[in-house]
Amino acid sequence: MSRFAPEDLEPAERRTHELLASVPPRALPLGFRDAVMRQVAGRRPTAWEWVVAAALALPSLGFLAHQLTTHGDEFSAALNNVTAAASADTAEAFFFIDGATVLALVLVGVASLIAAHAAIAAPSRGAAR
Amino acid sequence: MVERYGGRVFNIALRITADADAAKDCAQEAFIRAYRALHQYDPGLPFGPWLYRIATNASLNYIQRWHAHQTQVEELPDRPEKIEEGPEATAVRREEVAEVVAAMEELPPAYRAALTLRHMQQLSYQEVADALGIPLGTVKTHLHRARAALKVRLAARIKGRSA
Repeated sequence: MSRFAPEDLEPAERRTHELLASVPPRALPLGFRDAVMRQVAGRRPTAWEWVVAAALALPSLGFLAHQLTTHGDEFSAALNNVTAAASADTAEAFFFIDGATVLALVLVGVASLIAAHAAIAAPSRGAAR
Repeated sequence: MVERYGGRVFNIALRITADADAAKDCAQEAFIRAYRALHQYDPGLPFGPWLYRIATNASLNYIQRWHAHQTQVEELPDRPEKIEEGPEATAVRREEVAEVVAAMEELPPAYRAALTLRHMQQLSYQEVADALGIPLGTVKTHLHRARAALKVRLAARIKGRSA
């Protein structure tokens, strides 16, 4: 009989208890604890990443859309100049772009990176559940 | 929590799933679930059975998802013959343990869970009932049938080996 037995063990259970209690416990797999800790540590909510991405991207996209509607002809002219310069031998292409538009484009890029990280991280966190 | 209960949780999952890889996944899942549900734990109650319940549920869910099969309970058998001690006692004992584990793996998951908690983790009837989330009477019925089914499997294995 095992040294450890339930307090309310009944006589009819003794034989089965002897058999099953004699099965030695298997040791924990190597790295089990670290794997659990990694999953616990990595289980941060991704909501904030989406919020930050949206906060950066939406105003910027709105601004870019506004710029496109009000100065669309300038954009298309600039693009044509760049295309023409790229297809010709000359390296000269004239176009004008203001700082706010560049900043909006950069912010959209940063927002895309954050959103991409949230999208990649979410499935792996979900799979760990 | 992992240091203290890791071994027991892993072994509960191992005996229920009968698969070391699945047991590892289920045990990890149990700890993650327990960590996330710590605010629901009542400190007035023992922690072990609460955690074992989560581990048992994770393991039974795994079985339901991947290895759903039912085994009919057979009639009560004669108890298996006890193997005499001898100079090769260790080898015989290992063989006996392997037979017990193999016979147990043939039982339905719910019976494996009840036997594991009761006889391998030494829980009382009430603790088993709490861990499985079923009434005390149902636990006793499950255990009675599980023991009977285990004896049938073991008797068949011993008979098959001697034939």
